[in-house]
Amino acid sequence: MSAPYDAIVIGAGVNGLAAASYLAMAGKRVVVVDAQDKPGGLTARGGAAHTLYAFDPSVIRELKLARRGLAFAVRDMALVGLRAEGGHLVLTRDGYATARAIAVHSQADARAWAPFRREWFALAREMRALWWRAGLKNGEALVHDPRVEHFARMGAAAWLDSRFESDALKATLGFDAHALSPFATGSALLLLWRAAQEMCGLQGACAFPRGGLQTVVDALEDAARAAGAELRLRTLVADILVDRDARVTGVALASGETIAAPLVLSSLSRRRSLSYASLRAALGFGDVAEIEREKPGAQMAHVTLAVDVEPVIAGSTVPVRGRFVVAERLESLAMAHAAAQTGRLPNELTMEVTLPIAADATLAPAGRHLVSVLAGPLPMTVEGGWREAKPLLAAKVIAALSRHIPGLTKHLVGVEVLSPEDVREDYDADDAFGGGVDAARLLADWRTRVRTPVQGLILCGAAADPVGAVSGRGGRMAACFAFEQDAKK
Amino acid sequence: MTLLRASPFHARAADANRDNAWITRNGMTLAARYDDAEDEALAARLNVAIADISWRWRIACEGASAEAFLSRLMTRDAAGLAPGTSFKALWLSDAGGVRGAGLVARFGRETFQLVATAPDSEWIMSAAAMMGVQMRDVALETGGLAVIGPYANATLKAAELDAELEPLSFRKLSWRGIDVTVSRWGEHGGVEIWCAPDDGVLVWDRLMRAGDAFGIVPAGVAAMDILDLEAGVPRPGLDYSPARDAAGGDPMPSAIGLETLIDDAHKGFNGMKALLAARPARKLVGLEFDSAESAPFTPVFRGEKTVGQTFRSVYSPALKRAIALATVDVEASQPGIVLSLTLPATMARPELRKVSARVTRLPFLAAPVSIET
Amino acid sequence: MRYDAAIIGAGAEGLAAATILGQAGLSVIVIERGSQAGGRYSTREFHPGFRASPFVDDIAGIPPALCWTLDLARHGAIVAPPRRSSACWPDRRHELALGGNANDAAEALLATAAGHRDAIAANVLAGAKAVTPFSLLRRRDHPAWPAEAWATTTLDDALASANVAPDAAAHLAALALSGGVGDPFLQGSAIHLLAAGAQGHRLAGGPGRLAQALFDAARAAGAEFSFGLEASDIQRRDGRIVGVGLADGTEIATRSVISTLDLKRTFLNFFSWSALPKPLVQRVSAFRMAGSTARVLFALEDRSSLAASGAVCGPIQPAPDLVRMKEACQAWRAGVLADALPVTLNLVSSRDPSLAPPSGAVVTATLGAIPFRLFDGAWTFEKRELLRRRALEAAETIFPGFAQHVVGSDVIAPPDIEDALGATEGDLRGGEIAGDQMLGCGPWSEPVLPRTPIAGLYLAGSHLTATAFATCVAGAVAANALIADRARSRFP
Repeated sequence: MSAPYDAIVIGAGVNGLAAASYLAMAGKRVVVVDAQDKPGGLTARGGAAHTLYAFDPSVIRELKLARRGLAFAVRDMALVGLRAEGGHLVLTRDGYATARAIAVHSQADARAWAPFRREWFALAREMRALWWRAGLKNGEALVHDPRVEHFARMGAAAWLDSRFESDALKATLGFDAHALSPFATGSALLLLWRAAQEMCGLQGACAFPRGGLQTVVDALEDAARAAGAELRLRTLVADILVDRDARVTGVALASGETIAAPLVLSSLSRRRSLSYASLRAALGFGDVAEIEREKPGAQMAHVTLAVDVEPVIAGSTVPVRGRFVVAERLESLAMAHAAAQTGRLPNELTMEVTLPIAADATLAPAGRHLVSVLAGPLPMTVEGGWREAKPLLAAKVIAALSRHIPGLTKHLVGVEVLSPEDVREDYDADDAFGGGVDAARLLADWRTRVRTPVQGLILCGAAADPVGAVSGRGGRMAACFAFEQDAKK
Repeated sequence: MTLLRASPFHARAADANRDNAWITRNGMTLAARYDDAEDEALAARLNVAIADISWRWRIACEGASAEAFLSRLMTRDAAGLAPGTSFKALWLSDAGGVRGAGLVARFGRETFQLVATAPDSEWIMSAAAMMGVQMRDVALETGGLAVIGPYANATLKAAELDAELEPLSFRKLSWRGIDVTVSRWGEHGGVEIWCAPDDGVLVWDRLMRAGDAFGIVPAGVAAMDILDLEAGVPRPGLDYSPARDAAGGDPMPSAIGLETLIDDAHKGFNGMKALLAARPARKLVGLEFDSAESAPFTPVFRGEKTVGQTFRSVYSPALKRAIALATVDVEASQPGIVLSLTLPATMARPELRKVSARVTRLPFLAAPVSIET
Repeated sequence: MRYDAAIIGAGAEGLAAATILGQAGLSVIVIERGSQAGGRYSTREFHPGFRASPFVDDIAGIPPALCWTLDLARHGAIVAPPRRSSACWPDRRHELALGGNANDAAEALLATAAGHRDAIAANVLAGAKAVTPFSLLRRRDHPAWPAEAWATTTLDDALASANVAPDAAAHLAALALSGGVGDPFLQGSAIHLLAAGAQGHRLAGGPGRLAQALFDAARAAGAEFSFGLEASDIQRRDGRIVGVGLADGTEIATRSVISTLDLKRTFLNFFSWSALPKPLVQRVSAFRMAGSTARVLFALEDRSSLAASGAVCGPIQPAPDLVRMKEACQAWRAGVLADALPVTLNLVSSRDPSLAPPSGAVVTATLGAIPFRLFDGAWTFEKRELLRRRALEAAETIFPGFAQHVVGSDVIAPPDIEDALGATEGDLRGGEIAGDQMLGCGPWSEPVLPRTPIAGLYLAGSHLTATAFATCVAGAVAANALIADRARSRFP
């Protein structure tokens, strides 16, 4: 009996659609199934991301997303550290201006900035060989490079402390490694990973798509359909079917229907993908134990505040189209992580704030403004439950921002909180980042993140990326792996 | 068929024997180790340990001709021995080979006891009968515990046992209601307590309680073997086969390092003529290996030539390396010479391994010095 | 006279180096500012009739090959490996057998850690003899360090992947972090499994006996000693070391120097910053210290309250708990004493009766997560009293009635450790136990760290990878490196 499809993609999120596009472009018959009623997954809902900083340029190029409507309102958002005592720190690509800004906090740091950034970005570029599967060789050898080893064993705090002295600069830079505590080994690698990314041809840039992240989803959906992939929404997968040799034969849907295919790509986390009943039986005890042991990392919550006047950040003039980091010191990040581990909300919240309307005026009706906040690190399960904690979190966010945006509480018309629990429940996703991050995951060969012990099941979601982010890279890598497997046959 | 016997301390030994590891010596069941042999050996060196020595072979020698017989048998003269003292000596075969090594203790004018680690009953008793002396095996009449370690004296003081004794002397006394004999016969600087079998458990308990403040542990046979080796003491039946043949001239006393137990001034002991005529070819030495793996009964090489053979070999926890007693040719027996051996394959190491061993003066380590409290 | 080598510090490392150099025929002088040798391995009377070691109860393991070279057993130092460790909760107890046969997952993990430690020590010792030209780039063919994975895993994960049960896991973590500080839930904390806290090799007569044996061995090897004067600077001419200056102005002429002080103290004390290359100063300043140990010694007149614990020997952890260890670590970072301080108790006199009169006992408490700099000021008498009270409370939970038998005590806080031993920030380990400061990732990313950018200067301080986990290895490594360099005539 010939299978009607060559591949089934579970999850019509950014990665799933990208994977489907690549497979369909290569002539395969692909069907994408998603339990939601519209594609886009977490990205569309506005889950843990409000800017685009890690989208794979190869995906944009190869899937011709620019032609399909992906354009950027802001190419290179400035990084602004909001300080409690004023004197906000603005870091941009302009080295001279940045040094002057840093000098306000510390002269020594201003002098140390340029060499640091040069070294940081140079090594990050080299490490693309490890993290971007773009046909570059020598990725494996990099892992044994002494500089990489050195960073692999370093905490971000140790690195930043050794180069800089002002809390303002260290905390602002260190926030981007928020997936791990700054004292944790491997968090320095996170900063390198962040700097290895490229948006709009600029290394380490953070961009804002015109029309919001929804346009990314729309462009990918367009690409997938144009390539010939089929999209089935409101379709929940109940089980992934395997034959006696632990090879995938298809999926069983909640409706009772089965779709047969020799290849299944899953956007879910590794743990969730492998927890389907038939698969569990096919795995070895060691694999199961390892999967059980995987713990979700630090989570972020997306808090959106709607205000009826344009929010103005008090203090020195700051570029409104930038991203604002609220973190007093590196220790604040560490304490937030520690609190998250014990299931508590941190006393001092750290967060990244953007003003979407300032970036792209088309995003909201006139008179309405949005303040988008990614708050974290936060625990996956908080004591007392997220239902009680959501208002507390919102209150903390508002309190923290009121210091910088005067009159915020007065003009507040709406608050929306997407908590880690919402992400898990609504999207069956385990967590938004595809699992906890550590140095081993960052340095592992890309194939180990993509493949599973089950033949024919490939991970294509955030779990396939070294660090979960809106990147499309997971889908691309999964497709590459699938082609590699085909070539071997 | 000889039945296995239990020692007078068996009940306590069984309680303390964690892994149920037993061994038999001279037909008596003893704990090979109570917990970990190396631990126990170290405790005997650093704190205090008690060891069951009830398995030692003891025969009583009584009668008017006892003194004369013993002088004829042993390589030391029994005539000068005062009651309450003892000496260590060898007894040889007619051809001058070592049949046994032991200690002769004089209890009275006509009462002696011979204490050794390996029995030689039939030959000695028939020799005694020829001279009209009565000998009887008295090992079953008493049990013995050795108390060894720097805090041995402190333990005995805490137990209210008066053990003020010269080395190689002994005496009977009453210890809080029980009759015991205390002696300093051992090679490890400790004290032995001999008691009636029925009093065994009581003696054990008293000592363990008194030694608690000093970290007392019971030491099994394996630990005592480690101490024997570190002290450079070879044992018949364990290191070498004693001469059993009337014509057996091996092993020679010097080949097994026991020539010091022969009194040159003493004449007329069995095998003396053969001994004087012989020329020693081998000597007993200590070998220190450059490894932690021991090599018992393995040939020893100097370059390509075989120059000797190891006896027992153990890992010494005090020296942190394997050691061995070995008998080697006299030319290769200077301390400092480096010899080599090949370790046989084991499960953990399937290939042969060549190891170098340095000749060392015996003893490897001196007996622990007593710490007075 | 010009010595071939001057060794700064007559602790275990300095004495080991002196012995090895002396045995190789070099002329050696050991410079010690105290009145006797021994460094942290000393035993002193802290109350009439009661003695204890103020800094450490036990020593970290010495590789057998070094025991043979230094002939410790014949000089009177017989080292017994650690055997037992216990953790006591109000309702239950957990015991670990250290060394020997591994009966369960926890003991197997400890055995693995011990194997890694031995392999690292062997690695470092072997590397020392090879002559590597000093360079800032590491050789790429250097083999992976055993336990490299532990440098990036959390302690909690390492225990979980070894399938260690919860009680045993808490016990193991407490043992590994004993006297130190670490967050079991933070990546990189698994490296503490290698730490000296998990060892506990003891000698009769205490650590002081080791110092005595090493001193005898060094003297037998021909080393000379200078006591009572501190080394104040290292003199160089034309880029070569020519001598060591002492506090009273005298100069000892020497061709090379081995410093057993920690990294920061060596460079920041003996040289003027302007004389050192700038990258070196930067790296040394960025080196992180993590002083976190305090000790409280108790003299008890009556052993009866200790009898309840039966044949307990080895370190005792009262109610270890992973979350509390994490909180203690956070508090330590903030310069605050945590509410629940990690404490390890040790009945040292039960294994070494010479420390106390027969009816009495000496119990030591080793506290971890003690900040060197307190958030709210200096180490006053009240603060030390607070430490004493905490230790007493911990002891009461294990031995009810403990407090009423205490007749004397002594508190050693981190500043006291710094004053007595010259250990920067009271850090007995010579630096933070972290993957980027050891396992070949030291300040200069060299697999074998004794060599420095300064020709003729060798380091044998406690920051060296192997010596965070072993004793005497740093000294041996420095000595071997010196000998190898001389053989290649790297300096006259």
